[in-house]
Formats: sequence, C-alpha cells, structure tokens
Amino acid sequence: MFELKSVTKIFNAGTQEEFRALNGVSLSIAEGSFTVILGGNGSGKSTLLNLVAGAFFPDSGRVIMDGNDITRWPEHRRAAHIGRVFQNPFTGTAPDMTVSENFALAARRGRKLGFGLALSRALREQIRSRVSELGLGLEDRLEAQVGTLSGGQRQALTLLMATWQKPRLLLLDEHTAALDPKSSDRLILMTRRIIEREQLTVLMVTHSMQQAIRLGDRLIMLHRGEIASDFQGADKRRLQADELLGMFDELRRGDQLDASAAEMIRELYV
Amino acid sequence: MNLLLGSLTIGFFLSLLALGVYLSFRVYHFADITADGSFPLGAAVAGVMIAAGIHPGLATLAGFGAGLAAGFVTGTIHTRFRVHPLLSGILVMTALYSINLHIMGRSNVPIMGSFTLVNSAEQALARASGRQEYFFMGWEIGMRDLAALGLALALVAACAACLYLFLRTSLGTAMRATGNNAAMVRALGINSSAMITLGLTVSNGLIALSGALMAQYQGFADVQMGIGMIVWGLASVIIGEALVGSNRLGLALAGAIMGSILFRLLVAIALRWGLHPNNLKLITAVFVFAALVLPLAAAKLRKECAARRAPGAGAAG
Repeated sequence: MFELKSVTKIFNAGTQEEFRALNGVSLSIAEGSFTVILGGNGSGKSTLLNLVAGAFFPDSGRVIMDGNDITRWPEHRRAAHIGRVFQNPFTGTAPDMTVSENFALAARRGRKLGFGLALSRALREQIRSRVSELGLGLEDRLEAQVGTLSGGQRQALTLLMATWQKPRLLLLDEHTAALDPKSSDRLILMTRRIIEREQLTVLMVTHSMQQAIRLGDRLIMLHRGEIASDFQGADKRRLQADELLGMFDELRRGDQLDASAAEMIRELYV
Repeated sequence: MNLLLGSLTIGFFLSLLALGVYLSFRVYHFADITADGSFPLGAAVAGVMIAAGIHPGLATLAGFGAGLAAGFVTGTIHTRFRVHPLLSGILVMTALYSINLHIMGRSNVPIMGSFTLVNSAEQALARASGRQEYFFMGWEIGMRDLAALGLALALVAACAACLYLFLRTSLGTAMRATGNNAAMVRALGINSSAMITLGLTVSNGLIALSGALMAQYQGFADVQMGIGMIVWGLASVIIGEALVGSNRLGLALAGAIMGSILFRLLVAIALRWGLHPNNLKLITAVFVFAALVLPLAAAKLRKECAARRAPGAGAAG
C-alpha cells in the first residue's frame, strides 16, 4: 500500500558536489509488512526514508500511498498517516515542554488543532496508563520537562508518540544508533512489542547487521542509491550474519573492480 | 507619589508589549523588530479613530487588529519567502513608518481631550467616588492617575489570563512546541510555518494593543513613539526572568509583566535622582546586562558555597 516508483534524488545537481543519492529506486511495501533497509554510508537509505516522510521531494518518480499520489505532499500533511522515530533522540520530543504536553500533541496527530484545552483529565489518565506500559517509570515524571530525560527515555517516548494513534506506516530511522547498547536493546524490545500488538506496517533503516537479521520479514540492501538485494519470507529467515557480510564485501569489491578496471583501460588506450 | 503611580501605570500598559515580545522572543526565538513599527501602528490607528469621534473601545480593538495584520505580514515574509527572521521584522518595521504617517496624515495626533478609555475611566471614578483626589499616606493622588492605574491593571490582568489560557489549548501548545522543536511538530502533522506566522500575528497584536493604550494615556499618538520599543520589551522579559527564575508558562508570563513594571520604576527612580535623560539608553543597556549576568553569577556563587561546605566533593570547581 506504499509504493515508490522509480524515484531519483540528486543533491547539488550541476555542481562539482553533485551526488546521486537514489537512482530510479522502485519499492512496494505491503500492508502489515516489516521491511528493513540495510546499507552503508552513502547507500541512500536515509534519503529513501526522508523521501517517504516528505522531508524533501524526489527529482523524478512518484511516492504513492494507498493509491494516492503523495509525491508533492509536504511533510506535515503526510505525518497524519506516518509515524516517525528519528535517529537523533533530541529530534523527536520538545525539550522545554512536559511529557504530558508532548503527548497531548501526539494524541492529536493529523487532527485539526482547536481552542480546546490540550490536556483534559481523560487524556492525562490515558497518558499515565500508556506511559507506564513502557516500563521505564516515566509515568511518575509526566510533569517533568522532557529535556531532563536521557536519550533512551526520550526515544522511548518518541516511539510511543509516533504510534499513539495507529499510523499507516511507521518509519524507524536508525532509531537506536545514538543509544548505548543496553538502552538500544530495551528500545528494540519495546519496538517489537508495539509493532506486533498494533500490527503495524514498518519501514526501518539500520546499519546494524544484527538488527537487520533479527527483525522484520523483508530485508533490502541498498548500495550506491540502488537496491542490491531483496530478501523476503523464507529467504530472509535463512539469512545468516556471515552471508550478509559476504554480500557487503562483494559489493565493495565490485566498486573497486570498477575503479581499477577504469584505470587499466585508461592506461591502455589513453 | 505621582511619579510612582505614573511609572506603575506605564509599566502595566507596556507589559502588554512585554507579553508580545515574550511570545516572539522566548517562544519562537525570534527577535522581532516589527515591534518598533507595530507599537506606533496600534497608536496611530486608535488615535485617528478616537480623534474622529469613534468609540475608544472599538478604536483600541482596531489598533489590536492592525497589529495582528503587521505580525501576519512578518510571519509570511519569513516562512513563505524564507527571509531571515531579523530581516523580516526590519522590512515590516521600515514599511510601517510610512504607513503610520499615512494613517495619521501627519507625524502626531493629539487626543488629550477626546473620548478615550483613560478619560472615561477617570470620569467614571470621579462620578462614583464624588471626589477630585485621594489622600494616601499623606500623598495627594489625582483621579486621573488612579483611574488610569485601575484601567491598566484590569486590562493587563484580562489579557494575560486570555494569553495564558490560549497557550494551554491544543493550538497554543502546538505553537509553543513549534518554537521548541519544529522538526518534531512537523512529524506530528502540524504545519510549522503556519504556527510561526500565527505566533508572530498574536505577538504583534499585543504590542499594537499596548501602543493604542499608551497613546490614550499620554494623550497623543506619535510616529516616533515606537523607536526602541523592542529593547524595552526585551529588557522587561529578561529582567522578569531574572526575577522569577523559572520558565514554566504561568510564571514566565507573570515575570514579563513584573519585569516591565520594575524596569519602568527603576528608570523613573534613576531619572528622579538626577540621571540625565541623554543617558537613559545607556542605563537601559546596563540594567539589561545586569539582569542577564546576575542570575548566572548568583548560581555560580551558590555552587561555590556548597562546594566549600563539603570539601573534597568537586574540589576542582
């Protein structure tokens, strides 16, 4: 129900720093699926996620959601249907506002803002019960300013905020990358629990091979702006870490071969 | 005593300016120079309407509305055309100087004897009490001063309460969040550009309201009366924060009001003690600097005292 049709994104076109981040990528995400996108630096994985989220628009190609062409929809318009957890723990929450106030906004994601009081008693109760499910003791700190919480706590809150209302698509942008191993594991556990309970459709970007293998039912490897491989279902379940590593090496060797082959040709003929 | 009352009254009228600056400066981190233009805009619109015999309540509201429009323009220039925040404010402020001249037809509109809110408050008080002046602790207080103070107090209390409640609604909370983290707000489906424009609109509305009321208090609207007003507003907000020491919403708003009054009082006292009016801006700068630096110095002192009492713990401090 989410489709990318031949999207291309070029940064700094026409200048010396021109960089083709995505090259005609097509991708179809089925309802209820959990797709993991794996890639090294410069592979285009973050660009892909940002294109789906609407942070910027593709140079060519289309983004389609449930049959609607949303290619030109601005970020906040898509956000009514898309939940997002950022890589930076400080991007997902407002630090100078209380936990309750942050959730008051998350609970209204996609709805019109009005002159009604942001935090009713009923909403406060809901916030208390759902935050306590996180198991981090944050339900006792609902009136604390979010800026006083740790990165792991803020990411947990961002995750809950992104899924407070069931989104059509949940985007996870290397959301554990900036956390320590313990917080990272705890957040992954929380992520899996919420995804399974709400039956969410997920698109997750990671550079961790462990996460890529253990999570999701589909693995896409991006390399230099193109899809290098796509494992689904049984194929994905059979994947091992050393296999993936091997594939990564092959891709890099492919790059080097291209470079040295070009060098050789230049020497022979020029 | 008259000096004290006058300063209090002006402090209250200008606290609406402080509230507007709080909104743009503290909530949106936007030093909005439009204030220098929207303050006299409110005065000009209200002044011209009052001089023409229109009811002052309506005229004051019109002044408020004009400020809303000015803020909307600044916000649109910034969000739609991606002009730097400072420049957006400067552009609108500059344009407003000519616009204010056009509205008034000249540089100054006298409304001392006209039907203004302040004059009607004075008459109402005189009628109700049947006296011409009060005596308080041996000081003689004119009806006009008392009435003006009462009016200022009532209006500011009402506006501050409205602003506080508004900032607690979903819309107001979204506005505050936009100034704090625009990226998050967009990811939650809120149009951050619209929120910024809305904030600047409300901010300049309050500032223009302040101008409209000041014009009625001082008896004239003048095209130059906005010069340096953004500095007054910033000084009030900063002094208020130093007083209140918290950035929780209710306290911050109260702090801005208190800062405006205190600042006005300090300046009045300094002038009474023989400060040459030429040095007024210098003293303003010194006060604001002190308000910025003293809280930090006090906190540092407190930490050093605590460290000295518990030697060995953080001895490097």
